[in-house]
Amino acid sequence: MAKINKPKAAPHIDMTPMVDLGFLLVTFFMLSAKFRTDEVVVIDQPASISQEIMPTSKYMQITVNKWGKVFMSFDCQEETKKAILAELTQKAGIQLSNEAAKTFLSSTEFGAPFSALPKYLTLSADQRKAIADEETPNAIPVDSTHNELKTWVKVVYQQLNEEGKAQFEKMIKDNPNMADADRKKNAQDLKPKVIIKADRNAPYHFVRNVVNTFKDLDMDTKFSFITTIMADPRTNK
Amino acid sequence: MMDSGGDGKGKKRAKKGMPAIDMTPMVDLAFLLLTFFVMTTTFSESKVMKVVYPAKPKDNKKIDQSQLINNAITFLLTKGKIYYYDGQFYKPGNSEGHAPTTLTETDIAGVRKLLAERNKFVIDKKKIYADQLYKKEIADTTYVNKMTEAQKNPKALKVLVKTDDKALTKGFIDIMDECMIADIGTYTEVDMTPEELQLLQTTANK
Repeated sequence: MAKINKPKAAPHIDMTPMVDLGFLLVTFFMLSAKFRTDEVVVIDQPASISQEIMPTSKYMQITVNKWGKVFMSFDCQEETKKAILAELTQKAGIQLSNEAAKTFLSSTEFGAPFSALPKYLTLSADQRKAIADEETPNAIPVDSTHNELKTWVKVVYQQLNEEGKAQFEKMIKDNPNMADADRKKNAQDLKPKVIIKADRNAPYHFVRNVVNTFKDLDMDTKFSFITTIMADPRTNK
Repeated sequence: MMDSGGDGKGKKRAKKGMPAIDMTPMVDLAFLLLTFFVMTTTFSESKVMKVVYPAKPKDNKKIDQSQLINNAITFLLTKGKIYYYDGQFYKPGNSEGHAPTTLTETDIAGVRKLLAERNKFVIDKKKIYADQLYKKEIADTTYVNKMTEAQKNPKALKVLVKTDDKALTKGFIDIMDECMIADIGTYTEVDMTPEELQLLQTTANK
């Protein structure tokens, strides 16, 4: 008798281990993910052998893009940011609408002359990105004749410093028996750090203008340049 | 009579196993999320390089150059090109009767070789101290102190970097990096003098 070939169903594969692994990886990546904040200014970083890790808190970052345009960003608490906004508008003599003030508090990077700041704050992130990429000089002016970065640096540094001081004093109050070494370390950690993020193709004299601004203000001239890591030729001998 | 066996009313039901749930959408979603997180995660933290600039001289007081220039090398940077000269700068027809300074062109590989040669004093010391450290003859802090001492020795090389308006940040960072690689103790960026700029321009346009 002729055999009847029953049409076979697709072989059943047990997917459980795969799904397990899938979820394991999802969990891992979800927990370890640290989102890159949407950067307004795109920077192609230079490379160096330095292993030092970038400070992630209490810093003031000055970005110089490939056209030499200067942008300012900083990390601080909400209250400090409000204080910065108040002092900045007063020193620059500008008025910000409530809307613009709100945008200021939620923005991370600023790149406009004070006169154009109210309008700059109404722009969307994409529009700011587009403006940053233009060659026109419409970021923070740093010329020797017209230097607005000076005001930015003065205000931001002072506020960050005050915030750090307050935190340090609180720390000492909470823990009066702190060892001298810890005290020193904490004081160092709470000091504002100045980071320069310069594009590798930015003409260097724009960076020098930024440095000279600090010199003019009689401030510390120790900077951290953001770099990508490169193999150290000393170690692979 | 109702039995738990399920054969009530004489009807025989097939024994059911676990109810089969179609897991496909769930798995799809899981992998979608996985792909998303894999793509967006950044693992590498940015690194920073410390650069210390000289403070502005007070009251227009001139920095004592002779102290600075002692066993120093000066790099002049312009776009994509590196020039250097040794020691002090002498302009043509100087009163001291020195031959005028000329610039030598080099590239980044040349800089590494040059600095390794000139800073031999510190590098040799470092080898000795690193060896002692490895054999645990000296402590970590002693090693750091001894290295600082060696780098401050008058025999140790000092590097000055000067840039013109065409120089790019990359060139500057590269030179600073080479100084770090060669364990130079003192290296910094200073302003270019008009004489140096003129010499750089004539040399570069040759």
